[in-house]
Formats: sequence, structure tokens, C-alpha cells
Amino acid sequence: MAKFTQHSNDSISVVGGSDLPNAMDPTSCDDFGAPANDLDRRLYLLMKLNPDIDLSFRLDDLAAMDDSTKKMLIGDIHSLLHVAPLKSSTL
Amino acid sequence: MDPAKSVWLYECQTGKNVQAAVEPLNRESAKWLCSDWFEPNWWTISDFLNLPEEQPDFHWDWVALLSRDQNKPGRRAVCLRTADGIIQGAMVYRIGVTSALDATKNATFFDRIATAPSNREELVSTPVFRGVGEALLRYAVAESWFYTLGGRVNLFPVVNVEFYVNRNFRRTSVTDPETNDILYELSAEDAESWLRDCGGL
Repeated sequence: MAKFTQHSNDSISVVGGSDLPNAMDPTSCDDFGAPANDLDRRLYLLMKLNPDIDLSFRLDDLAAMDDSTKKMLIGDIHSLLHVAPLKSSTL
Repeated sequence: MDPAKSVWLYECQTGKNVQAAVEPLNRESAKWLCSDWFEPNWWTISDFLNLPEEQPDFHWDWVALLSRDQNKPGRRAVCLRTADGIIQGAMVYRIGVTSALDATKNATFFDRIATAPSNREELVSTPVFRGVGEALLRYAVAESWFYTLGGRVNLFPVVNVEFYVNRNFRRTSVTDPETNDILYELSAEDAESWLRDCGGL
């Protein structure tokens, strides 16, 4: 169980109001080709952030995949990049 | 690997940790966070000891933030919802910004975080839940991990700098030219350690 929930108070109540320099923030660009649903968008972004990964499919193929295939693909990307899976889905 | 689906919050009345679901923040949920969309909202469901109008986020328009970011896949927004259906905190964040500690790497930036007013020590005598903001922070670190960014996260603390420094956030050379606020960042090494400590790895 997360030990961080044991704190006697929560010192983060509000954060916001300052912004990054534009040069540090490539997320500011609109991308109308991005899929709308959450899983597709996650996979889409994961691949955009890792353009060097050589996978034999195109981003347009996402619509034709079922969810389990998409999750397997995410797992493959993590394996390729040696990203350990989370032990728990509750943090 | 699936992304994290829930977080632990400390329920003050029972003294127990309870789970809150992590959900994408949609427009209907975002309206609940705004003081001027409709009532009830999270500014009106509790009796506050102090003036909520003086909180920096009282006039934030979360719906407008969602509209601003809707076609930007690197920008995401989530909320934490407890079993009673109440949103206990919300966050807008950006995945894939440049790390301020290592410009060859990417990080996750906290654009906005807010805990429900009923969970704020400065507004109520006893918060309903504690640890909401920190739970959002943990979730963002896990998101950074999921997106292969090594858990790196950065933010402008504005207040409570010590809180972040105590959690190994490092001062960077990046400032907001308008506010002169300084960006702090959690390195990949410290993020991984943090995820291990909270049982995520």
C-alpha cells in the first residue's frame, strides 16, 4: 500500500499559473490526426514519442486493431525499451 | 503494461486508506470543478471556514482548458473520483515536454493541479481526504514512466517549494519569463526510486 497517503497533511492543494517556454513544449501543436479514444490515443502518443522504434505497422492501422492487440503492442514497446511494468494498478 | 487505474487516499474520518479511481476529465466533470458553471459544484458542497473565493483556482475554467487541449494528444486531464461519486482532485498535464535537467530527454509537465476545496487544510477544519495532491503527483510520475519518459516530471511549485525539494525535486535554470517562477524537476533516478517506494515497481 502506498505510504505517501499516510502524511498528516497534503501540501499540494493547487499548482498552476506559470508556463513553460515554447521551445520546451512540443505538446502545444494541434494534431488533428490523433485518435479520440483513450487507448488509441495512448498508443498513438507512445509511438510518437518513440519514433525510432521499428514496428511493422502504420498509425493508420490502429482503427483496425482490437483492444487486446493494442495492449500487446504497448507491452512490446515497453519490452523493447526495457520499461518495467507497474506492479500494481493502484498507486 | 496498463496505466495506473486508481490511487490511495487517506480518509480522515475513518483513518483508513481508500481507493479513488483515476478517470479522464471530461467536460461534464470539468464543469463540476468550476465555480461559475452551475450549482452544486465542488466549491459549494461544503461549509468552509475561510473564503474559497481567495483560492488561486476559484476562477479557473476547466472546461476552457479541455477545449484548449482537445486536439493536442500530449496534453491530458484526469480526475480522482471516490466511491461516493465525488471528484477529490483533478490535474491537467503535458506528456513529452523537454526535460530541464537533461535536454536530450522528455518529461511530463504539471499544468494544473487542484484538490477539492473540502480537502484543503486552509479552508476546512478537517479535510475529508488527505494526500490527494500527492496522489496526483504519483500518478503523473507513473504516466511519465508509462510513456517511456523515465518518470521525469517538472512543475512550477509557486508555493511550498520545500515540499518538492524534500521529495528530491531539483531546481532548474528554467523560469517563466512572465512570473519569474522557477521550474523544479524530479530526475528519472529519483522518480524510479519514488515509484518503488509507493509500490508501483
